[in-house]
Amino acid sequence: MGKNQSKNKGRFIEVVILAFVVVSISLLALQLGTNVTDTLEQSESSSDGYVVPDNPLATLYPSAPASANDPGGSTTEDN
Amino acid sequence: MTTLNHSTQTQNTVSKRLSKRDKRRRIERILAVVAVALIGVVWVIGSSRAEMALLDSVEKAMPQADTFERLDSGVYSARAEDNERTLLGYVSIGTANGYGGPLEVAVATNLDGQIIGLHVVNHKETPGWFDRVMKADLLEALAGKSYADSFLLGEGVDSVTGATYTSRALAEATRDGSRAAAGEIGLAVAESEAPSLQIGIPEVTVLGLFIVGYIGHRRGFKYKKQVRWGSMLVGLIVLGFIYNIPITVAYFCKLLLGYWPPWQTSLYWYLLIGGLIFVVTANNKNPYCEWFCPFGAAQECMGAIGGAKVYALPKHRHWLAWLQRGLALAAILLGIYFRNPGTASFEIFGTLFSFFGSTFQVAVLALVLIVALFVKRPWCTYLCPIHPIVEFIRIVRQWVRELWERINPRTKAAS
Repeated sequence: MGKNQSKNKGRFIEVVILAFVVVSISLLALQLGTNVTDTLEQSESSSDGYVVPDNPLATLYPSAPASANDPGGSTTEDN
Repeated sequence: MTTLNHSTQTQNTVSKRLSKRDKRRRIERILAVVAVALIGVVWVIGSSRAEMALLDSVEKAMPQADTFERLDSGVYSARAEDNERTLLGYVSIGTANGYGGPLEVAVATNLDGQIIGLHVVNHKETPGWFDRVMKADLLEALAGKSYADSFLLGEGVDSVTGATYTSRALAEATRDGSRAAAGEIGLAVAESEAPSLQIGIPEVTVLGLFIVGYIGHRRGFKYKKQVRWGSMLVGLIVLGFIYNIPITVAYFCKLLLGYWPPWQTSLYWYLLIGGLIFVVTANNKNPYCEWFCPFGAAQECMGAIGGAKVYALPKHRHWLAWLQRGLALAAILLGIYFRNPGTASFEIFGTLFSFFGSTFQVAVLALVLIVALFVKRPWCTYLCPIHPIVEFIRIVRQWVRELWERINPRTKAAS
C-alpha cells in the first residue's frame, strides 16, 4: 500500500515536471519567435528610433560655399 | 563458484555501463562538432545579409534637406535645393557599443554643431528593452545638445532604469556622431580621450564572488553551506535586483559575433564571461551558476520555503537535456543570423529583477517560481541556455585533455 502510494507520488511528480518543461519550452520558443519578429520589424520600420525636434533650433546658414568640403564663409540666420 | 559468477556479472555490468558512457560521449562530441559547424555556417550567411541603407537614415535625420553628399570623411553634407544650394548642416554616423553590440545613430547637426535630428540606423539590443528606451524619450533629450556638451549618463543625460547599456550606447553614439560633424564644420573638437577604466560595485562584486566561489568549491571547505548562501544572496541582491546584470545567452552571442566592447568601460562583461570560461576550462567547476547566479539564488530561496528536492527523472533525463541544448543552440543561431545578440535573449531574468517582460516571459516566470517551491532549480535544470554552454565547454575540455594525454602518456601517469 505504502509502496504504491510512493510510486504514484513519484509518477505524479514526473508528470508535473514534464508538463512544466513542455509548456515552458513552448512559451520560450514563442518568445524567441517574438524576438525575431521584433528584429525584422525594427530593420524594416522607418519611424523607429527617429527624432527630429518640432521646433528646430536656430540654425546659422553660411552662403553657399565653393565646395562641400569648404563650409566657411559669411552666415545668415534662419529660424 | 558463486563468487566467481557474481564477480563476472559485476564486471559485465561495469563494462556495459562504460561502453554506454563511451557511446554517449561519442555522440555528444559529434553533435558538438555539428553545432560548431552550424554556428560557422550561420555566421557566414548572417554576415552576407545586406547592411541597412545608410542614406535612408541620413535622410530621416535631416528631412529639411533636399540633397546629401558623402564627403571623404564619411560625413554627409546636407543642402537645400535652392539656387545657392544652401548648406544646412551635416549628418554623421555615430557608433557605440550597446548591450548586444554596436549601435549606430545618424546625427544631424546645424552649422553651430547643435544636434537637430537623430535616427537610429541599427542596433543589436533586445527589442523590448530598446522600445522601453525609445518610449522614455532619451532621443528627445539628446536632440538639442551641442557637440561640446557632456553626454555622460547622470550628467545631463538620464539613464533609463534597467537599460543602462542601451542608454549609454545611445548617448555615446550621438556624441561620436556630433563630434565628427563638428570636426567637418571646422569647430574645435577636443581630442577624444581613451576611455578611463570604470570600476564600480558590479565589477568588485563579481570579482569577489568568483574568488569566493573558487575557494568554496574546494574539497573540505568547512563553511561551504554558509558561504554559498551568503554568496547567492549577494548575487541575488547586487547582480539581480540592484543592477539586473546576470549572464545571458546574448553575452555569448556578442562574443561569437566579435562585438567586444572596450574593456575599460565594460570590465564587468569581461570579468563575468571571461571568469566563467576560464574557471570552467581550468578547473572544471562552475562557480557562477552554483554560487552566485542571481536567478539560481531566487529559485533556491523559493526552494527553501517549499522544501524543494532534486528529482532525477532517469527515464527522461537524456531527451530533456537535449531539448534544453536544442533551445540554447536555436537561440544562438538566431542571434548570429540576425547579427543581433538581443534576438537570442529569451531568458526571464529581467522579468523578475526589473519587472519587465513579455506575456510569455511573465507566464514562464510564474511557472518557474511555483515549480521551484517543490523542485530544486527547475529553470537551471531544464531551461537555462547557460547550462548547455558550460556543458559544451566541459565536453571540449575533456576531449582536448584526452587527446593531450594520448599524445603525452606521461601526463596521464602523472595525473
